[in-house]
Amino acid sequence: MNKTLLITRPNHDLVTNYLFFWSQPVIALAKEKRFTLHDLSSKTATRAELEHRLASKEQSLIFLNGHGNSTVVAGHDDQPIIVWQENEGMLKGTIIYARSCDVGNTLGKSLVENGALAFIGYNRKFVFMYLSSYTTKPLKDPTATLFLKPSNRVMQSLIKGHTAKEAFLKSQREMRKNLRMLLSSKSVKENQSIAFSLWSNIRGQILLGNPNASLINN
Amino acid sequence: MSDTVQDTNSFVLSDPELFTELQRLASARMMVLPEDTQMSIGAIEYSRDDIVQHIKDGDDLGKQIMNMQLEYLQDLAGGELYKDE
Repeated sequence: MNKTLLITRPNHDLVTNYLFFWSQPVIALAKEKRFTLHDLSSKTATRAELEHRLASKEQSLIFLNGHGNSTVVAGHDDQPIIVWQENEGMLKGTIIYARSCDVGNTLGKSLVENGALAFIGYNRKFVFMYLSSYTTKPLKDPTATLFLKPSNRVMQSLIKGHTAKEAFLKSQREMRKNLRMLLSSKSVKENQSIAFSLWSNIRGQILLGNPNASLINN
Repeated sequence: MSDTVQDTNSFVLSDPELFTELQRLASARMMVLPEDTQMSIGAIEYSRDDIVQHIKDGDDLGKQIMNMQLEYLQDLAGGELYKDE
């Protein structure tokens, strides 16, 4: 497989702003590993731009950030960029992580049925908490870190050549580690109240397709 | 969410007395959070106080949060949180 990473990271509201900045560590790792990077950020996170990049059929890893539902992944200004029964076939041969709500329910399955090697995403709302005092510096937000750092682990593992299953499990383990920290007796009460939403992401994160799919094996 | 958990949650949400108890529990658990806590669910951001209001209103978002809280507490009691994946 080619060492390419295509990432969509719109940046038009507070939530996408957090995902935009929290994608930076993943991008940094991809650059360090000498990946060819296609960074569809902010206003370039459009369906037209995505399809243009996918048309080359050189893509291997796909990292989708943004809002979504069962049948759509959205980009800039919540415009659909991947739509069920429309363009999912363009992601044939890729390994996908969708950091979006509900995509795992219908579109995720269809992506795999249409040739995507593996899909990691969520079959319910992707949830995270953050602190309003950190919205100008999302990467330093200690609350958001509990959710988004383990989420990044999926892509970081794939970039390092791990299989889809290993990437999924590494993310799960890191979320569970954070959960246990939140529940420990040393943790303050406020932290324990965050735990239920992190648990929802743990329960909602799914892997579809070939668990052994990786940059190395394919 | 497993079918059993979903069935239990449906029962709790449809029983008026249990629903009210769950509202109180879920609200109280949210109020412990720092005031500047925000929560992103789907495409929308909510403040801590927004969420508490939705729980008290018993609307779709409120029920969603209550469902999440209930699933978490059930899984905590069942030991799921401490299992390896």
